[in-house]
Amino acid sequence: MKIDVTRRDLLKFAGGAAAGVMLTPAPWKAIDDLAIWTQNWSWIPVPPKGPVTKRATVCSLCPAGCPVEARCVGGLPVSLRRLGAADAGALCTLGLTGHHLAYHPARLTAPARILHGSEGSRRVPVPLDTVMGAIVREIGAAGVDRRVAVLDMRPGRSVSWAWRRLLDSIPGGVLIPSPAREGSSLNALEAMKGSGSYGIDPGNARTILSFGAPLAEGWGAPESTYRLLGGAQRDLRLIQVEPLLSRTAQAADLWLPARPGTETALALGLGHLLLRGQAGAGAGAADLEAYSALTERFTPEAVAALTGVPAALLVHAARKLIENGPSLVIAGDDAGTGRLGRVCETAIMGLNLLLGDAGRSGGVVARAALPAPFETGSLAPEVELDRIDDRSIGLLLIDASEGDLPMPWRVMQRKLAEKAVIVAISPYLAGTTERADYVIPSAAYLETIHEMPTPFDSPVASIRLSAPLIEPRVAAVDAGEFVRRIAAAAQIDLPEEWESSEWLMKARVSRIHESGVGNVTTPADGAVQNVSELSSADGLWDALLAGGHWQSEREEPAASPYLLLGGIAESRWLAATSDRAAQLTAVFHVPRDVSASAAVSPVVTKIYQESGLREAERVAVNPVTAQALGLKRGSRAKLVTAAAEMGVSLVTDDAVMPGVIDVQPGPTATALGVKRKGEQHGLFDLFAADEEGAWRSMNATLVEV
Amino acid sequence: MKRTEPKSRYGMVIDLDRCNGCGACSAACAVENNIPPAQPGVNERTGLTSMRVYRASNGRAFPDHRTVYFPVSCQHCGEKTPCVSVCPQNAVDVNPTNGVVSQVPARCLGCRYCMAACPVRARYFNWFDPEWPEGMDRTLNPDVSVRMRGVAEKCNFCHGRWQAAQAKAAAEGRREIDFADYVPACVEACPAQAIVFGDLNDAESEVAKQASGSTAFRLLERLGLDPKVYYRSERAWVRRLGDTDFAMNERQAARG
Amino acid sequence: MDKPLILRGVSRCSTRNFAAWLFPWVVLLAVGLFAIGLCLIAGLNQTNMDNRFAFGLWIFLDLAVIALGAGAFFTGFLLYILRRDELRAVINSAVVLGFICYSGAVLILMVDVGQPLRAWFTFWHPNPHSMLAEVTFCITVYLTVLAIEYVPILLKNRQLRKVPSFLAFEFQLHKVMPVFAAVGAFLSFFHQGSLGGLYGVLQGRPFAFREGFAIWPSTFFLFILSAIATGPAFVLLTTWMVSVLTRKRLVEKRVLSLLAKISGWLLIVYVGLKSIDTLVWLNHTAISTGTYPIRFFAWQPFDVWVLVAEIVLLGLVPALIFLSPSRRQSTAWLVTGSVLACGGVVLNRLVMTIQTLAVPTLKFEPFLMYWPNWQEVAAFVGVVAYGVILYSLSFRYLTLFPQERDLQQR
Ligand SMILES: Nc1nc2c(c(=O)[nH]1)N[C@H]1C(S)=C(S)[C@@H](COP(=O)(O)OP(=O)(O)OC[C@H]3O[C@@H](n4cnc5c(=O)[nH]c(N)nc54)[C@H](O)[C@@H]3O)O[C@H]1N2
Ligand SMILES: Nc1nc2c(c(=O)[nH]1)N[C@H]1C(S)=C(S)[C@@H](COP(=O)(O)OP(=O)(O)OC[C@H]3O[C@@H](n4cnc5c(=O)[nH]c(N)nc54)[C@H](O)[C@@H]3O)O[C@H]1N2
Ligand code: SF4
Ligand code: SF4
Ligand code: SF4
Ligand code: SF4
Ligand code: SF4
Ligand SMILES: [Mo]
Repeated sequence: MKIDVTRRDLLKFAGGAAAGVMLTPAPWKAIDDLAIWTQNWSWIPVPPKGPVTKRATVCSLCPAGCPVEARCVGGLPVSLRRLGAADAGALCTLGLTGHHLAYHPARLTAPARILHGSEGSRRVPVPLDTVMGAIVREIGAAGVDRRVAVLDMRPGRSVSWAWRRLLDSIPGGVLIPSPAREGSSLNALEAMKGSGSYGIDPGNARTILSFGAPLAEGWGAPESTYRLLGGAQRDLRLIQVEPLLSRTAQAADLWLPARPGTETALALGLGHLLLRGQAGAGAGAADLEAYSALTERFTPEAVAALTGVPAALLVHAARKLIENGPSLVIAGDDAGTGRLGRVCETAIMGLNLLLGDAGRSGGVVARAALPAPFETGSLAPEVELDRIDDRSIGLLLIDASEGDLPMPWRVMQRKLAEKAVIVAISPYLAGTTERADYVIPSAAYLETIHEMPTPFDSPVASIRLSAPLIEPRVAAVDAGEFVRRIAAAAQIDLPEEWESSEWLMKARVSRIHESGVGNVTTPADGAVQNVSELSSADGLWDALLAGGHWQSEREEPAASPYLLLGGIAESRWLAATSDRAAQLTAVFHVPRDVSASAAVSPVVTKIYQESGLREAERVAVNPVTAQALGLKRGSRAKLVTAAAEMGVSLVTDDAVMPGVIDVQPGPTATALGVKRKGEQHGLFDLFAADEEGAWRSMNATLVEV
Repeated sequence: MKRTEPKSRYGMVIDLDRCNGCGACSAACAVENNIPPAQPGVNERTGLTSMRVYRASNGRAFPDHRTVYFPVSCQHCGEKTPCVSVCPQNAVDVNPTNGVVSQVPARCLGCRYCMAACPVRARYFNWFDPEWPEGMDRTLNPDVSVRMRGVAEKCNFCHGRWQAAQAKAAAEGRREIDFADYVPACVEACPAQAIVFGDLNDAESEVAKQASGSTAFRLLERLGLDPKVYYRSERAWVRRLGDTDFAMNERQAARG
Repeated sequence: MDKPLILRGVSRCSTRNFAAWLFPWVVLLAVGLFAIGLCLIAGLNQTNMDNRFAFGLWIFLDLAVIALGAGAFFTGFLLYILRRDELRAVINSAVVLGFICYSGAVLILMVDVGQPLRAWFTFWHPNPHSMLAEVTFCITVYLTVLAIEYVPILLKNRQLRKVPSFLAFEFQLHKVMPVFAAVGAFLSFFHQGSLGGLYGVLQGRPFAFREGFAIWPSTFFLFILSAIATGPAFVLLTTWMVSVLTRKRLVEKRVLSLLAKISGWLLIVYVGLKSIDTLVWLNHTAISTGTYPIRFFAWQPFDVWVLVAEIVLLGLVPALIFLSPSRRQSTAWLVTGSVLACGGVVLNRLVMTIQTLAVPTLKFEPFLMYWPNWQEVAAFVGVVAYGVILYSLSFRYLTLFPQERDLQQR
């Protein structure tokens, strides 16, 4: 048979085939596949799969040590939440996103030397031995005018004792506790009472008078924040002294906007009122007469003129303190924002003594110290930074830093000797770490056991352990082991046999067990077990590693006489209360939760970059001040302090007191995970410590550019 | 849009007297819902903040100035749900049993009409491919898939947590979920416990009680969209800020 | 060189001059395609749009272009349905313009959406309540209609006419053209309206929200009216422009005058209804949602003058020009009127798209402004270049103005 295929047949066939294809799933499948492809691009990250487990640990990102429940997939944490009772608050933003930190782009992966040049710094990886060589060289050259100092950003850990033991064998060796740690103002109490160790008991206070402590923004344990903001009965009253309507001042029952730098006068003015308003106030003070004489002139009217706080408000505040006790008076001393200075802290702490709340539940309390990990023997002294001579440190080792020193570098710099060597042990190469000469990587949060000794706002001694959940992602150096290696290299004989930080912690836990004192709370169910009921130290260790919280019992207050003026000369009191009304003052204000860290979770961009909630680098003045200076919102201005000058973009905000420049740094791009070299908190540089060691406020000028 | 009256109405009440603008809810939402961090150059106009905290004030001068923070997520509009009715291809879904409005990212065309329609601008667009720092994808929530660029997104009352609660209820032979198992991430993360979540139709629930209180209000209530997110404050000026009669205040007027 | 392609009896510039004219447009098209490529490959982060300005330059200009492109369907409607035979003189040009406007708009829309590969989902899972679904359906179908209407014009080309089956096909098409015109008109009335509905239904945006009849907000009708009112003015304007550029008489004056007259009457109706609508909106609709409408105009650059400009300067004024028989005799007045009328519809689409999004709804939201970036501008200019190129080619090789040959020979 002959087949005749015409053009027409071919066309017919093609048409039929096309129609036929439309009736098969093929074209629809093709379309669907195309759609599916748009939903599954290969470059879109895929969440991990695996068994879901819950594990308890403790947040080690700030001294509060919140109990944490981690939701893990395939053993690795994918979310964190606060464990335990709801009325204890929740994790702060930093803690909530803490499981991201081990993966932070600013992670330091190996020891390195940082070469500082005029063109910025350069990092060169070096073996740990090279770093050790530099350390040993400096130890060899050490003396009282060229000290070896360890800046301990988390004093009170077991390894702090190890450092002090090592430093004890080095001439001029000192341990400097972080100058910007919360609760450091309590040191003033030690000076006033002559001896003893003190804590505060905000949990039982009914009124808190806070001199700029950001109580509702992460100062202290989240319990305080919760009680202040969310407590069912709102049973806590807050009086906030602050030159701007911060988030804490907004939450306060009474806001006393005082000119920065006049807090001492305000405290003495309240002392004036308490002496007159409360029977027996100051009866135990050995220097009551001198105090009375000094406060004589700080009448409400005089204080109003100095501070800007209306006299009536002052009287009202004093009445509330007396009537709604127990009352606690605290001084702002948080990281970054810095301390108020020794004189001011003494004036503030004196109010607790006048109120008779020292030793009382809800006030300032005597608190037992945590046992040391070993029989202490001879230890190098712990010296506050402001007591260290200028230009006297030859070797500075920075331990337990999360990368950034929460203070202006200038404050540390003036203590450094010529050609001082700085070695930083840190998980991140960011912030202040980049100023070091050598950097050594340490484990990040959740990569190793971190020890959380007594938080400053705890009325009793306490310890918690942060259990690791993530395999270390870098070859991290352990501080305990590092102390040993330094000793070996410098041929220093250490009597104790520790090998590592974990060894030291275990030793401490075992001494707690031996003492039989206190109890352990399991945060998940609130179960409490007395230490005396635990058969072995290992049992206590395991309980702690499972998120347990050991606390000592409350101490009996010692009714010893005290010095309301702390033995500080009158001239310093007068200098601290001089009139500043005519000055424009810059205040350094670091929102505590996330902005002061060298590394934060990149999702913090939700708060700083992706919403108008916070500005990353904010310089704000009251519109009235701006007008007086001839400046407008958004205008470029030059902010000049005695320390530095800087071009800024001005924000106006009615929340800021007139005459005040609110300087707020946010996280840097590096901190948020963008790789960028040599970036610092520029705004920090505007501040330098005064003769009291404080950098909270600086006289400043703002000029249009 | 004809819809049978849902049996439950999931919703929340946010106590503005408790909230102090910490932003933890925003961050928690990002962690829970695999919302990527901002890329360099992203700003407050191009970010992804399914829960976004706004700062507002009474507009008065120092020392009478007072601030308030408004955490704003999708309000889960109940009436004529704007984003649902405008979407050309049904990529927005209202759960018929609980009224939760969710996005179906895999169907979204990215036309952004829903964003123009949303009264509180609770919808965001994925302008960029989602990206986390190297290794950090290990921390992603396996219950929520990552959205690709070019689609809209918003709060869905933590859909993944709801599914988990449902699965748990089913496994235990219950028909109703237990709200102890279904706590949205922002609610859980709030240090002030300013947010209460639950079924507004359950008169016994805390959320229903607070929502019916005299100090409760909703954003732009007079637009008649029946949102299921309530706010409360004892302060009258705060309540007025939720109303439609928008007035400028200095800070906002000066922006933009 | 390309003589054989050009209609006998009309004069066209040299191939060389023609190429020189096209060259800059080709360059602009290339730059536009590059910008479009960037947006498709790197994503819409390449634009200046943001979460507030979810719609930007592109949607605004798409709407404007579609309104102006209404000249095509409305001329067809007048010619084939209402039998205004004079308009045969411009119908081909109007169809080509319509095709350019609509295809350009669809092209830009495909770049504007985040996931263009899912565009067909609208047909797969349509939401009948969505004005955008309506728009998408009508526009795609109408673009097909326009393409079909384009075919006979194309087939009239001197060379293509030589193919006998084409000629037959063209003849058949011609017979059914009124049907397509009717379909096109229906679809167009509908999608012009739906484009207005797009904004009018936004109950969450008191600035845009309008009451209306049944499911259609007043903007539905106003958009139809403003589009058909300015469509003829745009045909007039383009015809004038082509004639100036080519230095030729293309249509009889009375055709332009008729277009103006039609535009004028429709404009005056539009201005009247728009004024009523504005009063109802400001005094009732907005107030009933608790909004103080004065705030709509509290921020620069969207002052009250925008409203005044839109209704009076760019609405009433051109209407009065067009309705004056003496002014209609003057080309200068016709052109001025057309520019004003077209400007009015463009401003209206700008206000509806941009001001709607710029004005805050929540009290604690800021007013924001938006400016397009080069990618957005370049992409749009690229599409304009595509339009110019297509129109130039059509003008050169096809018969856009049937009267041209007669007018030239006279
Ligand atoms: N409300 C809501 N809508 C959604 C989604 C949602 O989650 N919620 N998800 C969206 C997503 S991600 C997707 S992918 C789409 C999916 O939506 P559709 O594409 O509508 O997919 P299905 O409804 O799952 O199935 C499609 C149809 O294909 C038929 N079918 C099955 N096998 C074959 C075959 O071999 N040949 C042919 N010709 N037909 C076959 C099925 O019987 C079914 O009727 O839905 C989208 N729409
Ligand atoms: N058994 C079964 N399995 C299937 C399918 C099926 O039909 N049956 N379909 C398959 C198909 S086609 C697909 S596409 C996939 C879909 O699977 P997935 O991609 O996992 O889709 P969904 O779970 O529907 O929704 C995506 C996720 O995005 C979150 N989400 C949605 N909208 C938003 C938002 O606006 N903001 C935030 N933060 N999160 C949001 C939801 O909580 C959800 O966890 O499943 C596939 N698997
Ligand atoms: S308060 Fe401190 S311990 Fe608690 S979550 Fe935040 S950083 Fe962690
Ligand atoms: S608030 Fe916006 S996104 Fe949420 S349901 Fe309403 S319109 Fe949709
Ligand atoms: S952007 Fe997505 S969800 Fe929104 S209207 Fe368009 S298709 Fe629907
Ligand atoms: S309910 Fe879930 S999705 Fe919605 S804002 Fe809260 S955390 Fe985000
Ligand atoms: S977490 Fe709570 S307190 Fe913080 S911003 Fe959100 S709602 Fe307010
Ligand atoms: Mo899908």
